[in-house]
Amino acid sequence: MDRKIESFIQWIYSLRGDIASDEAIPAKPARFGDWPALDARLIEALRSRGIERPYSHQSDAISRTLAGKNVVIATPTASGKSICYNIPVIQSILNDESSRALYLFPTKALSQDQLAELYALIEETGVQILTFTYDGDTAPSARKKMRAAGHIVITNPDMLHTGILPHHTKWVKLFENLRYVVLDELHTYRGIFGSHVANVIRRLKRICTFYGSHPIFLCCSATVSNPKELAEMLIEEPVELISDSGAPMGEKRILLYNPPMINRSLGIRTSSIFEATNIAVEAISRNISTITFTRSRLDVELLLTYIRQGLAKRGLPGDLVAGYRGGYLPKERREIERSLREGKLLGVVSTNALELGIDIGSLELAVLHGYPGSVASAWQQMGRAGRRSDLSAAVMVASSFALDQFLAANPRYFFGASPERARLNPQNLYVLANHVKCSAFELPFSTTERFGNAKIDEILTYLERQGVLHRAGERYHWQADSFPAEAISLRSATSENYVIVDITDVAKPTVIGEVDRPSAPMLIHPEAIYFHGGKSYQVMELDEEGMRCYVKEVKTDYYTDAELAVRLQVLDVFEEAEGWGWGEVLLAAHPTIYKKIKLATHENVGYGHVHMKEEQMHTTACWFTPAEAALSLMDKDSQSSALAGLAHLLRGVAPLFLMCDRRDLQVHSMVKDPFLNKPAVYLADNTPGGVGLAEAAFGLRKTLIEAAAESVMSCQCEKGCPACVGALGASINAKETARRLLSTFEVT
Amino acid sequence: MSDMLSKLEKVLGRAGEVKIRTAQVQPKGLPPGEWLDQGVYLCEHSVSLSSRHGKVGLQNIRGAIKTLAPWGAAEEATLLDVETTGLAGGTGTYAFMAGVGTIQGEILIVRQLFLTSPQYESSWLYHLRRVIPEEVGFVTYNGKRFDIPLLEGRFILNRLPFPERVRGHLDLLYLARSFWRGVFPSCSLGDVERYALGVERESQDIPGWLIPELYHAFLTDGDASRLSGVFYHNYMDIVSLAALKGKLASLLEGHGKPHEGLKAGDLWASKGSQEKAFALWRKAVEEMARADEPLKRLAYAHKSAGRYEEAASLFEELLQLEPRSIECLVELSKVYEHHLKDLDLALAYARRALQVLMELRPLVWNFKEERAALLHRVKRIEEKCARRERHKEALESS
Repeated sequence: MDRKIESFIQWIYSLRGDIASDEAIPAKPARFGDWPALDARLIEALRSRGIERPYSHQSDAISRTLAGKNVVIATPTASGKSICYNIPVIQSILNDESSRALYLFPTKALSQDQLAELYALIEETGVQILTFTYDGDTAPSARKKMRAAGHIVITNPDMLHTGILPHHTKWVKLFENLRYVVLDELHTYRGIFGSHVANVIRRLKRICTFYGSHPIFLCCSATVSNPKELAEMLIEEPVELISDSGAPMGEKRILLYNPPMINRSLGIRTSSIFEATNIAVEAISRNISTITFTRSRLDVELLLTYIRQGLAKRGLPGDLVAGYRGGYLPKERREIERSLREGKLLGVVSTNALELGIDIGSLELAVLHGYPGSVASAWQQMGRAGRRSDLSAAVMVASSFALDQFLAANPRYFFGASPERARLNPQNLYVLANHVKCSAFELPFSTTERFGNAKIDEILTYLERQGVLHRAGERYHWQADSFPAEAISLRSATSENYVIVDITDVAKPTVIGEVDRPSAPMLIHPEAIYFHGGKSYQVMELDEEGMRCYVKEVKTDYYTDAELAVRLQVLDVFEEAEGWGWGEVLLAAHPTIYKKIKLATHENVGYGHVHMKEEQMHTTACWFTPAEAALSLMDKDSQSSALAGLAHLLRGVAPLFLMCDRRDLQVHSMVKDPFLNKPAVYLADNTPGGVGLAEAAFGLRKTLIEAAAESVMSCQCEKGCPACVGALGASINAKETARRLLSTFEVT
Repeated sequence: MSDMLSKLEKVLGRAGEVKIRTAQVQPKGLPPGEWLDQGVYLCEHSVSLSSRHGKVGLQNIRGAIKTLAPWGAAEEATLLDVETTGLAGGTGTYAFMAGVGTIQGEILIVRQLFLTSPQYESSWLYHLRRVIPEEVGFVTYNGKRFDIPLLEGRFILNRLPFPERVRGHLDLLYLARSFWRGVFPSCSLGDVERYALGVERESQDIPGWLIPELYHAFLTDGDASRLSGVFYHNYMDIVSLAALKGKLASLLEGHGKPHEGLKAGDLWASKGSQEKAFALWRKAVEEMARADEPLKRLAYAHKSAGRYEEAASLFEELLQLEPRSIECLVELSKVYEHHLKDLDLALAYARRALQVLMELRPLVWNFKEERAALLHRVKRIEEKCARRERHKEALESS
């Protein structure tokens, strides 16, 4: 047996940084089940693919599906989940040629992968089962055949939303005979995207009912604590959970590595990107296949360059490692995936693009440059390293972000606590009303009809008053000359995007990208530096009416960082307790000034004023006001620094407990809140209408305060640092004031 | 205002002032006609085939079937045009009026089937099926992409069968585009009607984009008088279809202007009727002020049919018109080199082509490649000539 992973882990122990934790996940032997009654051709096909017997979870999932139950399979990466849905689907088509199935994957790349795997299995059965991918790349000539004859249609929610459902009369064969709907990577259907997808499924089910079919849903999910609840929220039917994996697993070591401290009083550690590079280079030189994850596209390029340089210093070829991220062409990606499977590449540097179930075989080591933002993502990424029998390892290198440092100091939150809940809110009014529109376009609503579980009579009345629907008899008919699905993007809450126009060559303006409206004040205010495709541009003009942003390419050594003036207005209080509350708010922001920050040194080299209209958003927020007594002991400056410090602490730790991205949440503090007439801290859902984060924060208020306290206590800096109370913390002594404020909360 | 409504307005904007009709109102102000069923209203018009539409007579519509058969014309010609609630496509758009024109004896009968509310659509479709002959040859304008797929979708939505025995579908837009793209401001039915048929619509006609709005207004108050323009518009569309069908057939038979004759030749060639195409192109050569286009077509057609003598003489004729056509010079060089076996002429044309290319140098974007190709051609012919000379000498010396 090779001991290279063990000796590599010993090498990590020899580094100067801290090993914050080292957990061993024991090996697990395989457990098998039996095939339920299947077509002999299918059993034979599986055998010739090298699958003699199913794992216990596979046989369980297949039997329940064949018995007509909806299931969600939540087992680890590489446990053979696709077998669980491919078998019932192929079986049903072998049984009845007219039977149809619809596969939904969150991204196009995944559909391509699935197609290859399905083809292989179908070919072995020797029966003609037509399988097609239907997405934006599908040639119009192929579409007609697909609609009429495709047994299995593979697509994504966006295409279902704009390309299939609004044209359902062209898909009669599919909808009349739809037996199975497969929803893979279910955990990605959370937040605003999940809320949209839940409504797309409502529309799908309405159309199925119209054509007399009642499909069974087969869902697969990576680690979340509530796969059953998530599936049931998405499809609004009972779902059976299968989570006990029978697939074998080799032993796995998980290390949390914190780069060495170089300035204790300021809490500065060596750069995590250099540490991650060092670890990856060492592993690759030891012939350990390694995947390195990082958070941004820019970091992928940086890491790739550094790792190649490191390998070159050791006399190793740089092309042992490749980069992988969104923005690479599909062909390049396929090539990289293949080289990884075949072992031609020893290393890959990726964003979370490779987190999803793309098949790259199993690697020996995963290096995470920074905590990816949620526990589920972290487990997904670490799951990329894992072998059926041998030892594998994952090393997470903590960055200077608050949450990373919090986890390094308190690893039990990562290992001990259950993974977070995936949240979505299909009743989000903005999302719901828009999909009612789309659905009314597809089929008239009767006046008493529900939309999934939602009562929508008032929405229908509203749409009638807008002139979009016309009520005749007991039904609402679509009456507008528009195609509503095209105006709604599933990936964001608002479909309004600024178009970025490059006018470097005035005679030839070119569109280079888009920025969603809520991000505009930060990213593309006038004079902002905007980065795109490795080039820097300056914003010359922002046309707020026409939603256009004109930029010119410039050479700069600085970037810009806008400061927002935020206004929060509580519109409706839903619940209150112990100085906390949550409810509906108006969140308004406009940029006031921007700072110019030097790229290499992060020095502030100047500033400018920004004039932009206020951006408004209706959402939900959770807030709290510290007790009078706690603040009465502090002067005004201390109060302000304590609140700012506390807001920064919560900004850091709250996403961990609310299972959301940092960008899903806004945290603000106010010394004197105009509504409450007191100092207050707000945690606001950064999605119009909210997806439930405010309510969740209200429910978890004690946990959040405890975590904030723990975060500030465990931080090793003296007066405050970016990892606890914020970069400005030291200058305003926020660490001390925030600690004093936190100590006044009742901690149980 | 309800709590929910105020929230909706916050999220999606003001509800607007559209009046909601609660009680069923009997439509008023409809043009003369009869009720076929609740919500389904029929207006019928007869037009004599001996009358004229604009500058064009309708009598040619009969004989047109034979000429137009390669483009989908069939017996039981049924002119069809629908008015809809929009152009967006998808299942949210429905038709509320169908104009159906059929020929009975010497008369064109135009039936307009009007739907007074979407709730009666199923019954409206049922009657539409009865108005359309059982075996039908559709004649439409853009019907292949719009009218027919839309109706098919509506039949499916109402779980009714669409007419099954469709013998043919002649979409006049395709032919109109072939003849008049780039000639008329657009190939919309309105422009084609104005410029090809000389029809001027009366002031009551309304532009197509206004129709969905007018119908929606009618649905809210039941006042159909505002739709008189829509009835007129639809009626005119059907009569224009009839006239246009005859007009296009006569163009295909060669009774048009010279440039139309050229296009007619192209259309026949695309359907494999070389004889008809040749005749039309020859006629165009005689009639057109500049005959280069039809000459070129004829020359290539003869060449690909293996009639090289004719092809060469046509290319030479073409060269008279365009002495600096590199394309033409190269074609002549090819024909003489490979087929007519006159190497001296082939060489002369190739060298001339090279010379022209040098003169036109600044205008030729792929000058380098063109020059290399021509040099290669010249060299090859020169070598062939040299070989021939050697061969000749060998023959003579022996």
